[in-house]
Amino acid sequence: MGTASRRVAFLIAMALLPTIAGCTPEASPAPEVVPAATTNFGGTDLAWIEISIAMNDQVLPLLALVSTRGDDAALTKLSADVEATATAELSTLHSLHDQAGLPAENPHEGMPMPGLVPPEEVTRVAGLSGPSFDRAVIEQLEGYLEQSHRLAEQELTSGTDPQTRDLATRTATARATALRQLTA
Amino acid sequence: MPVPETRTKRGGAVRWGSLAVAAVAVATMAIHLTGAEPASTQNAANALTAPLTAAAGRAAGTSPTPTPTGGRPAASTSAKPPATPKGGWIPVDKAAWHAQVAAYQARKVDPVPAGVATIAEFRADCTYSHRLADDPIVLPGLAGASHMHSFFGNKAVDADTTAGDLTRFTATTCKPVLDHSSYWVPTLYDAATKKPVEPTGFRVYYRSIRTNSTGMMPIPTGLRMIAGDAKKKVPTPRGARGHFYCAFYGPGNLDGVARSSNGNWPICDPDSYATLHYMLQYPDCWDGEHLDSPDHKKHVAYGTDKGCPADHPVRIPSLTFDIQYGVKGTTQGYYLSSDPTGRTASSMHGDAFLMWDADAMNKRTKNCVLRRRQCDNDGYEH
Repeated sequence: MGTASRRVAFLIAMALLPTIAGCTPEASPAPEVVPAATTNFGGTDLAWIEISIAMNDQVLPLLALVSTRGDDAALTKLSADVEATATAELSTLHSLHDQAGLPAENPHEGMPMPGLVPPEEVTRVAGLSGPSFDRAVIEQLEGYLEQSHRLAEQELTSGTDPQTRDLATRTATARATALRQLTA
Repeated sequence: MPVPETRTKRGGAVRWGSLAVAAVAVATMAIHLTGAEPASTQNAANALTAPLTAAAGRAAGTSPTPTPTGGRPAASTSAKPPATPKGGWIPVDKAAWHAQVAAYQARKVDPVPAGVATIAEFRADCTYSHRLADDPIVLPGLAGASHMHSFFGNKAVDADTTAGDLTRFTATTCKPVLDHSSYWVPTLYDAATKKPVEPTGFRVYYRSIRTNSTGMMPIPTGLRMIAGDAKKKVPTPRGARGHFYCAFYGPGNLDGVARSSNGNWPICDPDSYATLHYMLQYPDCWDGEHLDSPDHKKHVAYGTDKGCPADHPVRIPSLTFDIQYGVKGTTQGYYLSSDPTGRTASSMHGDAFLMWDADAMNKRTKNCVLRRRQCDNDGYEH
């Protein structure tokens, strides 16, 4: 498409701009209180804290299903272990989140991203039973464990905050162990 | 006026049309700014035949002029790994910003040839570069953590890219090559084939979205920002706000001659050259303090014709992504990587990690946006 025609396309759309979501020219947001203090948290630390909270939050409903519905003893045991680990991590993660001054709203919750168990998938799995239930749980659990393991290792590569790196070390180890058990 | 672009047999008509549309665009914008409901899209399109009015070049309003102060330089944002202050606020290096402003203010306006339109903009024209599940603004250092993104501009960008990297690895798909920035959007997929549909055109306008350019400053080196809402999942039926539209020549049917079966995507007229487009606009005011904020939005804001709000006092060119997809729509429609199940268009969003050659940014902002003369990739358009 030539320059002139691109221009027309653009200008037509310019006329439409008021219809585009997110365009709020009159908006004058409330003054933001900007924390002045700096900490050891780097960009990767902050991102890892937020994505890990979302991942753990979203795997727990799936694991809760296994505790009441699972009929595979090994899977039920593994699921309970992961549930305990994820719950304990969330406590530390929320503490780090608050120390870092991160916003209350998690930007990743509910987003279609690798390792985030979708709520609609939990609903779907809840309707299954027997081997198909187990297979669906294993598939989601494996996706969560692998991505969580991968991201914890990247936090150890690029993260700067000692407390956050310490948690990532424990997370990486826990995920590696769980993955071995899952595929055993 | 010089001979208009004549790449097509309709070149002359196109140029006339573009000016008319410019008037409509400005008029519509003015309506919007006063809070009135804009005309329907069809009306806006029909209004293409409206006479050219002297909408541009109105009386200048007032805008607070930034008063950058020197002082101790903040931590460099190019350090790797990046040291980020509390909560994701990244302070601008005050000394660097002060130097940028001093160079901008010292720069002389280049002589304007005859026939340059009074449209306050310059632009970069880029092509698709690469696709990664990375996001160096939202998820820095965490490769593969995001939904899929299509990248434009700087060819070396991945999850680990810092502002410093953009100055070191400058190969780009953009014209001018002095634009080292990275731009990205969620990847669009064909719902029937599940294959990516990459844009066939990606233009970034840097422009004034107001009636005057009082106090216009260059965009600070290393500014990051996001427009749109990746979490939004509302239907985008015919006439909805913020949706994909059909465009090529003339008014056409912007909502398409039909819709995908879920209603969220237009199907463009098969007997026209129209294909899918998306337009994404960014704010025009900056807080003067931060290159990024926790939600990647709070350090920028929208102003008015009167200038910028007190907490975001620095008026800067507003970016607009003008994205062209070379497809006409299908019954099954499309989905974005940010909403593969809902399959609406409302989660469309864009990220900009801006890094121009500083003098190139200063020159264009001064000649084209501050002085309100239309520029293309390289200079005055005439």
